Amino acid sequence: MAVLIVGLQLISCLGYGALLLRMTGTQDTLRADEQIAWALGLGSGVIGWLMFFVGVGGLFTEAAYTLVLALGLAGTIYVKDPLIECGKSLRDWRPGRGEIVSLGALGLFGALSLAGALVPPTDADSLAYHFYLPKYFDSLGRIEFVPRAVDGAAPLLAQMAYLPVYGLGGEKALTIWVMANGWISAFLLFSLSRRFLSPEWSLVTTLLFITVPAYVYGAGAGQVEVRISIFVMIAAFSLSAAVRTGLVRHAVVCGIAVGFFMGSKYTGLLFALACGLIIVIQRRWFIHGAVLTGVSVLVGSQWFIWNMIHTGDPVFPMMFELLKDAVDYRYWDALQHRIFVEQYLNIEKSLDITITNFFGYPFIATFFDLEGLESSRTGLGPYGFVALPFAVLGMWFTRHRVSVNALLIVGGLAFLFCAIWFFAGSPQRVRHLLPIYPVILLVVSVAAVEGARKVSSVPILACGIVITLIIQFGGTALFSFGNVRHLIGANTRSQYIGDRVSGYSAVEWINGRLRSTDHVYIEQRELAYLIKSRVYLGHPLTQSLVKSHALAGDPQILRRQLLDQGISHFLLPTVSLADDNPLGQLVALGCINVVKSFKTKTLRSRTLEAFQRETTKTKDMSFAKLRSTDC
Amino acid sequence: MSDQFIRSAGVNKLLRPFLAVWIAIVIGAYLMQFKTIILAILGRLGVL
Repeated sequence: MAVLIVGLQLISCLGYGALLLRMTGTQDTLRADEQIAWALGLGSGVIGWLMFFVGVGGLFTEAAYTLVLALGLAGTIYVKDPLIECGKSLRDWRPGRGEIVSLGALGLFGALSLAGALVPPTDADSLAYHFYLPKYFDSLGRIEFVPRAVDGAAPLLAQMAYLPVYGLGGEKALTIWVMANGWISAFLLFSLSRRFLSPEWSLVTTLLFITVPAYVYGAGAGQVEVRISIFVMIAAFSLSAAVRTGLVRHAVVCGIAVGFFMGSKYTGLLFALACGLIIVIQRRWFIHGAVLTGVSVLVGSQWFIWNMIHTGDPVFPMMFELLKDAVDYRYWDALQHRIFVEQYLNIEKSLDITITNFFGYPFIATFFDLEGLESSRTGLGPYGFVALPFAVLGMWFTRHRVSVNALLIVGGLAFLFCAIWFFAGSPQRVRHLLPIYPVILLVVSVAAVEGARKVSSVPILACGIVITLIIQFGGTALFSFGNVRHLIGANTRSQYIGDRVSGYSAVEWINGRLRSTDHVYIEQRELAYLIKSRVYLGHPLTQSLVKSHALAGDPQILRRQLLDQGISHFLLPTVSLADDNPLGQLVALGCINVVKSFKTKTLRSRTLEAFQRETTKTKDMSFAKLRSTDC
Repeated sequence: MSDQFIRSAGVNKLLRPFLAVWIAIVIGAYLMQFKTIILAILGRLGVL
């Protein structure tokens, strides 16, 4: 059933996307395989965009999900011809030795990614909000404003596309969908690569993309970067086409894709700025600029308006300093903002924002295991540096060729986005650059292959790529090892999650005892998805409705805040209920009664769990109850 | 510097070893950050 639901959503994406391409008049400018890849990518954005309105209308029901998916099927009449053409091309294709090897590697990767889709979700960010919020909204039947910075009041267009599959097919359909959605990005990169490279090199470029640690980590989870990479590729090549041809229709498609990115992540605003800067330095700057701005705002503004309606701040709470005197910040205050900036935002920046660090960033992010960048575990692999001298030679040799202009614009856009991203002071995690990575990869690959050919060094480049792929496949295999072992073994779901999520044994215990009306306060965010009752994520740094941080004042005020939120229970590390903690003071006053304590397993790495020699570390957790009467 | 010069036999003779050594250095430097993990896995698998 789950596979059928995902299949239905894929066909629906195809239909919605094809309809968009037809309406904008860009369908005929694409090859048959490109039409399918672009339609799938755009269609996933359309579904996420539509689900916002369905959710605001309080219509998250099976009937509404089915209707949204069924409406998309109508557009598939526009992909009949390209599908037939692709079928014919596949039938006539006689793959060479290199292509067969690449296809084999793709098949192997496909099997490992399928294994990832068939196991329960355990990625912390996904459990905290990428999967939790769609699950929560589905249970409510509507979208609810979540007054929490970073992972609550954030653009959620990509996550909204999870709702139909989750609502109709449950968790299994959700995890299979994120895998399938990841494959759309791979297919899109392959089809774009075919504009400049042979099928063999295009397959290799695709393999280099789907085996980088950031992709392996994020594609099978709820992380949105892989999904956004689809919008970035479409936007970049539409922008390039708009500049080169002067046709407004390409600016429209670019605006749609930029809007989808804006609606999926705040960094979409930076990408929109980068696209805007490129579009205004060309001949038809005014009309293209107006169209790009108008369409991207129309498509991508829904979540910003949603935030503004609820808080007055479209990027809640980022504009606090600017708007604090003009807007009633009922979910935020000056103290919370100071704590958030000092203890959260500033910690996300490992490197000072200087020109030297900007140009040094790729070097540091490739060769140094800097914790703040998460560069080794979820980095982008060594390929950029492996191919660098070849790419430099390639760019030198092709400097006079007009035909590479398309990639010049695309490459310029990637550089500009990276510069804006770095100097805007965004969190510097390498994986946040994954959306732009396929574009960079394509530009580098095309230049590197050209350079290697000119200096008769293709075998040397190929050798470097093979070594890179072996390393990246090694990482993928390591990441997938536990998934495969779970699928072929006799482990239960509970054992699998227990081995990967700290504190899960406590969740299992409370799940057997709590009622659906109970409201559990937690601070360990990845438990949100796993707890069956309603959950309040009381992160001390990102929310202000329950001030449990060390700077909180009177414990009775804290108690009132807990009651206002309807909190009935707590599941917290025992240390959070110690005397020197505001919640601990409520325990001392008798307002919170500790019901049970647990010794739970803690984990440093889900992937390396099976290979670690040291004994398992434990953490004390407590389950407690809030007294509703005076104390 | 002309294209012909870069592609000349003499320069090419130097360029190819440079490219090969470059790749070796990049891969080696990249793997260094995983030294602890690689050794731990090899130890666990009984290789070391």
